[in-house]
Amino acid sequence: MNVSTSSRRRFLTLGLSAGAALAGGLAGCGDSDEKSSTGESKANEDAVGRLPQGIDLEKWNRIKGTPYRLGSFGTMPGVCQLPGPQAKRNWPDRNKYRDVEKIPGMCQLCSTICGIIGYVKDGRLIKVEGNPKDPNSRGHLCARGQAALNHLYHPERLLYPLKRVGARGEGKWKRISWDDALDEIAEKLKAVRDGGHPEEFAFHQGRQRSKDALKRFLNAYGTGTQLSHRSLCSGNRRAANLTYLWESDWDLNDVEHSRYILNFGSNAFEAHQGHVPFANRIQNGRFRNGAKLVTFDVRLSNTAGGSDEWFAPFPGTDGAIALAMGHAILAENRHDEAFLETWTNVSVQELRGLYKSYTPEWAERVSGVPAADIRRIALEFAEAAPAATTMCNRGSSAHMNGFYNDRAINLLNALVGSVGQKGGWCWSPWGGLDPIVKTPPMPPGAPKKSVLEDPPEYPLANVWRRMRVGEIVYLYLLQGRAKLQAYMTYNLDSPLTWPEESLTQQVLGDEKLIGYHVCINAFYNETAHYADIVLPWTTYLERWDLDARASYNLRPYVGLRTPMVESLGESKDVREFFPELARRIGDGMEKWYPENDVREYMEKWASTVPENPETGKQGLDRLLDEGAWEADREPFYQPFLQPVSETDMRGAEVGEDGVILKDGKGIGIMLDGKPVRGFRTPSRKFEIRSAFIQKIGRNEDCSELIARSGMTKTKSRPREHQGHDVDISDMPTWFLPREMENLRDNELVMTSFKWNVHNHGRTMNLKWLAEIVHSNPAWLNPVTAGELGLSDGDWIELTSYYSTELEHQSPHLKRDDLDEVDGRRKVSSMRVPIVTMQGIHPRAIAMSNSCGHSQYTSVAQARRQPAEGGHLVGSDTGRFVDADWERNMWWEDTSGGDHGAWKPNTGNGWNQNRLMPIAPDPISGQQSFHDTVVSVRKL
Amino acid sequence: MDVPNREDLEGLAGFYRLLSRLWVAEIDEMWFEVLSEGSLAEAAEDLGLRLEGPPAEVIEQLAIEYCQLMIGPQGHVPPHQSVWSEGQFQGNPVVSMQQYLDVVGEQIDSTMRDHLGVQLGVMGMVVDELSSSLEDDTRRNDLAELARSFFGDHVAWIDQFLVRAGESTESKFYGRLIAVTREFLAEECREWLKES
Repeated sequence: MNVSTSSRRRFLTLGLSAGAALAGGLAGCGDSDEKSSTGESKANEDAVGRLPQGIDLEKWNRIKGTPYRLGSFGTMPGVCQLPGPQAKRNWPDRNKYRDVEKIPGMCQLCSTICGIIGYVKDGRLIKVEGNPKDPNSRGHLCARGQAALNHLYHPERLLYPLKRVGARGEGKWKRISWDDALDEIAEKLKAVRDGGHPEEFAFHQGRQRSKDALKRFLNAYGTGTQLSHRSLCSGNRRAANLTYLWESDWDLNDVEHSRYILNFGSNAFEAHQGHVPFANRIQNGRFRNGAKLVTFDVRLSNTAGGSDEWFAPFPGTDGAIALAMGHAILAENRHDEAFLETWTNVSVQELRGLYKSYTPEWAERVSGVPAADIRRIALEFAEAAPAATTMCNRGSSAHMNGFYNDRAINLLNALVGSVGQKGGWCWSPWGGLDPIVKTPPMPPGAPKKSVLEDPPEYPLANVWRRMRVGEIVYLYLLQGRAKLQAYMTYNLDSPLTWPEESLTQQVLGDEKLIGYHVCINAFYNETAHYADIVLPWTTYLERWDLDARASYNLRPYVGLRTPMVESLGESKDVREFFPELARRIGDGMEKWYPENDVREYMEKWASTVPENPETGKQGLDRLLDEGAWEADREPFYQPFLQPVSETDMRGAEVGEDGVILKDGKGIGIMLDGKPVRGFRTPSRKFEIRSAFIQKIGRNEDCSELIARSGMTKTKSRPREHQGHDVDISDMPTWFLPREMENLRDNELVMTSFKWNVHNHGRTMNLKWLAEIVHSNPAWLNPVTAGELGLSDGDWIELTSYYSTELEHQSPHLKRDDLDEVDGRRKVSSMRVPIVTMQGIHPRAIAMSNSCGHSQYTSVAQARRQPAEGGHLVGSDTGRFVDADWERNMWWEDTSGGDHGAWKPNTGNGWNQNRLMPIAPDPISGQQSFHDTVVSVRKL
Repeated sequence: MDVPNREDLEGLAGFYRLLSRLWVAEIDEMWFEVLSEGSLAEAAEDLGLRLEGPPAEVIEQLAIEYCQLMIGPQGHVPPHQSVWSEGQFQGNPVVSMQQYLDVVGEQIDSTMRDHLGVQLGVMGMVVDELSSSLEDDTRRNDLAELARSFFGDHVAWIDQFLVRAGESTESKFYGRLIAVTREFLAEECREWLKES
């Protein structure tokens, strides 16, 4: 570059003119002292006139000899130096962890919420490890948690509020200040509220751990339209547990003390909600107690592979196997007669009738699992009882018969008397967070519900707990069954994680269906792409929460999430900006935010955490010190035997059936002449026969049953649900969805799964994890592949079909929009390569989720170079330097779509939800992710 | 560097500060005025940086172009040194910058510390101080050493960014700003990083 004297002179001339206007400090550079409470952008500030602080040359002379200079202190942990020329330079760096501050927190890179310790040095997080004081995770942390640094310091994080300037979905934005963003959002939300339909403002959350903050804002606003993904996750499992227990939707299998663990399709070693704490205890149970782990799963998951025995049943037949096991246990009289007769609401004789036709031979015919094995395992399980437990999760529950699958599985525990026993099938009445920790006063809930939040067709979706039916939201909007004026999404990636990607994108992109969309997220994902305003969210390493997961110690605890470092850019948590938004909307909303800042709120919330006698610290100070506190009480074993106190018995009445009622509400049951707590059900027993679910399905009044249970938050179905009756069997049963009955030669049942390094939609942007797993070819059994003329690495076209079972059971879904092909409704087609392996049932085909991002940073898209069309792809890593990507992103797919040139294990995979139809279980609304019939065509 | 005259150093400092302001944030109404009809308009025209047109429309368009170029959320070129040296935010340049900011007496939030606009501003402050210290040999030498050190650590890298940014943007204004900044820094590089 040739710089002429005249050029330089022009610079100096302009500089001289500018100098006068810009004298002073740094103009608009984000002075930390001036950050306002509302966090308005410094972008447009004018710093003209600020006086310089002066240059301290003494300081310069002090530090220049031993400067903290570039290159002199190794590299940040985020940079992988392998296998480049600088590999292991300065390694190990003995000074790396000198002078670090260790700050406890809680992970949120999956749903398990493990305790963590952050190492902070010079204001930067340089390492994360497990917190040994966390009673649930006990210091363990999985690969996802270790990738926290990728998450926090990702070069494509959202740093500023953005406003859409092109068409929705076009990808054109401008930066705006927080003030402008909040003003605009408040104006829109106020208009919706003032119009008399606050329920037309929907808040749609993905994984959230700030329940109190969301509830406070939405209640104060007056909308009950809080949408979630629970039905995409665990609706059937929860409904089955609630049917038996009422007081808990979450079985906590006491595997650490078990001698036999019977696993139906749960992949606890990789992706369970209790992942690390649960897997840790399973292995403790196995290695300390010699517990046997037997797994039934259509796919050889890492859990199945690590089991003592693995069986691959036909998809969706878990319940049939469980019923056959019950048959075998009763046939051999290995059941626990005393428990069944005392603590369940059916007799052994009735159970024999129930199980009569479910023979192991019948189960072998439907599942393919040998009858002899079913019988043997059933008896082994009974032999180990009461230190024996089942475990199940999405593998058995994410089916159209999932509610009944889990009912049948759970019943095995009652048969052998392991319910509530040490080493058995347990639960807790707390969600995890210790009940003594009370949130500051909360506004009352909104009276009016939207059909999106409480669809009348799904009787068990919202009676005990609000589970909702998330997968129908976009379909109902498209069909005009509900209207949304404003829509706020939060940590949600619905185009990737919701079934029917194209339908989701269509609705998100349609301004007539969703009038105004505010997206709160830390990254620009597939949902943000369809937003009107994007608000940059903090990561879990930069925000406050009290949090806990269902406790595998069976006693409640509470953990603290705290800002370990200054939040990046202008990112903010909802705890910071909801109060400000509430003040701008006004009309009383603001009164629910009396605190001056988040810390003050947290101090109130944590105030009941008792003092640690060793440190003298209590409340928030104690949690800041230790990260978690666990209540000092006995594990929640056999709660049904807990005595009812004399005080409670005063004024109580005992009915002919022994149920104790006080003020019309159940408080216990008489056992051998003594009052005990019993189960929190109408019969105060473990309810094998549930009159409640049958009546709820028929929309009959259940208020008396609810009163007897004492679970007063349980709801009868409201009047507007009349006419939406669903037949629910009051006893455990099982059926095979009709589309699976006679599969054609080229048809398979598709199943999905998660890897141990990913969650569903939020980790593929993390390079440490994406390098390990970034693609998801379809798994096919070699026998099936042979029958279809396929070999490893071949490409196939998969075509998915809408459920014929649902066409019969759920005509309200009206999928006339789907084309009819060969008498079925086609959902979509997708081309993928296959890998062949023995580890999959011959009639199943598996693809992992997490893959196939079209946004969510260039790592998630496995791109080093920009794609043609620019605006539809993520950030262009080819334009800046990342040593990892330049050298190490070896998995970029350079085939250009040519299947012949594609190399295995390259690319970013395929979004399985392009194929998956919207398929809610007619009872609970759980998305049936594992029932989709697909046809296979070789390419 | 050769001993310059005070006026040249003041001009140099002013130009650094101008670049700092133009890179650190979008053009607002005041700066539109300054660069279209105000005190800098004529000199800006000389460098192809004069703005013209309906203010609101031009400001809006420039905000979009600024966002596309440096903020994203996609297809942008991050203006933070850590991203270029370590592939992530909050790398070692942020810690090093904090040391320099302590020296120049400025407090900047941690995310912005290694932003090129801040770095150009710090360079402007040092040069400005140098311009008023020419009579004091010790102070002048210390400041020159500080400027050389800072330029090498935190300004020299900016050319990498500018090359990629120039390939990325179709914005007339930012394209020109990139070219001017490159041209200026190339000259400065010769001044501050030459063998003494």
